[in-house]
Amino acid sequence: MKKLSSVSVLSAPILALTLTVILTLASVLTGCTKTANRSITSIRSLADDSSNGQTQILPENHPNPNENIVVEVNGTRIGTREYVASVFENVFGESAEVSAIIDILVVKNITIFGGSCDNYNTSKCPLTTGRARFDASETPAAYPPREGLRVRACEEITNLDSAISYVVGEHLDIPSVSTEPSEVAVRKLYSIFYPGQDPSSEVVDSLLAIATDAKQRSYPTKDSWRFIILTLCLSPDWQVP
Amino acid sequence: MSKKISRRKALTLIGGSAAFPLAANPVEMLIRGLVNGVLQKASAENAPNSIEPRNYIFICMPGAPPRWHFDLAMRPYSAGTALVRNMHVNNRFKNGQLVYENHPVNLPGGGSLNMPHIWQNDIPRPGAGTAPMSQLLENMLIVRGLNMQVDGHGPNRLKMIRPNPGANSLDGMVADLSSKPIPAVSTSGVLQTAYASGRGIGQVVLGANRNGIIEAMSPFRRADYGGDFLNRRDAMELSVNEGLRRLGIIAMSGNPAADGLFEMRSSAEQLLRDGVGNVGGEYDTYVAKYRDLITRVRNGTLKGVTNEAITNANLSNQKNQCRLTDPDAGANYLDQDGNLHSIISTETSVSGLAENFAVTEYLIRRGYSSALTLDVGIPTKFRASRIKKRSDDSVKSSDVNFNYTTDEHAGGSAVSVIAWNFYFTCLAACIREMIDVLDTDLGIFNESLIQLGSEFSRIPRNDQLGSDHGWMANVTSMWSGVISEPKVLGNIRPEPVSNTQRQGDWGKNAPVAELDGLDERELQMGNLASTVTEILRVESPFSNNQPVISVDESTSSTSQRIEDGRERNS
Repeated sequence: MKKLSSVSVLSAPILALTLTVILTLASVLTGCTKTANRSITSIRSLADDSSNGQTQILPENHPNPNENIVVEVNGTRIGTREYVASVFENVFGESAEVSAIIDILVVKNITIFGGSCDNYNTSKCPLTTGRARFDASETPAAYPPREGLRVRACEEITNLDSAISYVVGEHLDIPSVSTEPSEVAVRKLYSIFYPGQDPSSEVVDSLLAIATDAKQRSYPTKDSWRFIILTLCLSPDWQVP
Repeated sequence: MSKKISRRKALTLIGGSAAFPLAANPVEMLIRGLVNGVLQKASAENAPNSIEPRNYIFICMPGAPPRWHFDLAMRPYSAGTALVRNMHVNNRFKNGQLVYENHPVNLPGGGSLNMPHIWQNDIPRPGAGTAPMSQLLENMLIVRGLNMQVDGHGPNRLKMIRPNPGANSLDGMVADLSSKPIPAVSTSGVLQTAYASGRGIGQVVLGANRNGIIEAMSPFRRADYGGDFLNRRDAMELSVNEGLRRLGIIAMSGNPAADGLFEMRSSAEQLLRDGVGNVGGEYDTYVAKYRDLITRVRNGTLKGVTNEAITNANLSNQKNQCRLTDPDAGANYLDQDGNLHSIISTETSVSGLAENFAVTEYLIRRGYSSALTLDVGIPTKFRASRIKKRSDDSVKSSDVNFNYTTDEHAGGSAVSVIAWNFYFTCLAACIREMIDVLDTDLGIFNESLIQLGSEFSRIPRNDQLGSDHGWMANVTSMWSGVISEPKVLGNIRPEPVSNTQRQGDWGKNAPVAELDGLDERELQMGNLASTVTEILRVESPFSNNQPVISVDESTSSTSQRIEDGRERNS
């Protein structure tokens, strides 16, 4: 608490000086300095091997295209099994059916989703998974087995009518899934998976187009909700805490 | 493997977006990276290699069997130099007695390599027929005389796969650079605890059995959802994918690395759609093949063992030489009717051997994984006519099955020779078949490394009662298409005969010249780790410890960096 208090009274000049020092250090570390007449020209992901040889992405007005610096970032850190489970529970509720799916596909797959066990949280640490459960990564990465399980969880849960009704009723305050999705509703749905963020109009349009597609196929309105929610659920970046 | 949203495609898609930060001020990008905590390292050193790492199959022998039966060649290049004999260092029977013998194998370029006696055996091949075990030497590198510097099963076993506790494990390093759907898999109960990935890539841990492999592939096997959900989902695919594409654009505008997330989801969905085939059926086929190899080793001839007449009565010290490790801590010995090698029964096997190789073959054949660690179990189900108490020769039990432990502290010399000849011949047959799968069937032997290792070799006891932890005498063997020729590297020295506990040759390390720019230093774990990583194409966790070979990727060949393995007196 004392540290927090001391930070709060830092004056603006000190903060500015601190930021300058940080940026200077970063510039030195990255070799990115004005005097060298070089600048960062792209960011590529260390998790993305397809980016090799494709890093020459220059702004049109780049002063010296022959002196590129590529800033590389590690693969996106995503949440552990507990984080993913909590998002599922928040979105779809904690009915017995939903919880069972989350438990089997997410919570119990400790080494795949990350999130090691500790002695204070044995309820989510089945004893049958071996010692590795204590060594599971706290900074897991996405890879196909994890995504396979997550996709399955999304599919299995959104296949439950009760889960769709829960989302529409609890989060959107719409009493019946026979009400067609609106732009406002779609924006709210987006914010359930991405709290505090607003979707672009392109995203809203694409999600509403799913409802239109379902309607044109004469699927019940419930399926319009189902496939919009499934699409949001399948999108992997809500796993970034 | 299909990647529905490649980075190139994603960048093309979003190239004109004003929201995308590539068009923003680079300093803003740097700040954003710092603030978001995603800017981890501004260095090209750890960037994914454009070349995939080699497939890595690490075969662990927990418990650490004595290696002088198999890959600890005592006099590889100097047959004329006699062994300084330890009476527990035997590898065959001859004229009713225990002896140690070399088997010279002619090398393609002339000369010969003196391997332990077992290398004159033939090993069964799938279906029918046999092949000389010596063919296994063609692409084999043996590193001996490794000083693990500390005793202990646990630590040394973990060191083999994670040699530097402050760095990632070797299989984790491969997984970090792998594009395979399940980068790292372990069936090893112990090695899984050493796994560490720099990118947070999880390791799939499974039991080496039918259920285990089915479970491992379960992320890609949809449950029966009932109804027509999947049909409708398929029908809606275009509009759902367009929604995902739009969501991806937004994601990448805030976090350029998010494209990796979308690629992984896309890959997983592709596997879900393709299905993983009849996993259980495939596994059954492979496990039957490897079990058949073991059966044929059991039914075939182990030269120097099952074609020799050897009885309890002939042994010079049967109470010691037939000592058994059992729950009574070596208080007993084996008394066999007729020929001693008849302890190999119709059920004798090596636990988990066929199952582990079947799981490995499935994953490798399908291209699902590139880093696999597996355990080979102990020799099991030998049959004893009688087990007697060493104290008074009274019969403790009759006509019983017994297992032989790899950690043979209480394994008498005679039983040891029988057990390990059987075990290593089975293992050689399975490794040979795995190599054939990699080479002939898949054409990826050049892109693969099989490593056989354990926590250490062993120190023989002069009294022939068994052997103890040889942590200053470890041995590891490697096979890869890139290994150009049979080679034994690493020096050893005998313990003087004045050592009343552990005299003679058993592979104790001796200094190697021209290593790390230092003169006269023995091989250590760091040198082995650097050798393995040199072959795997990943960064060594011990940059100060040089590999014992160099790989020339342009010619797919290796060259040794140190002298041929030799024997020294000090």
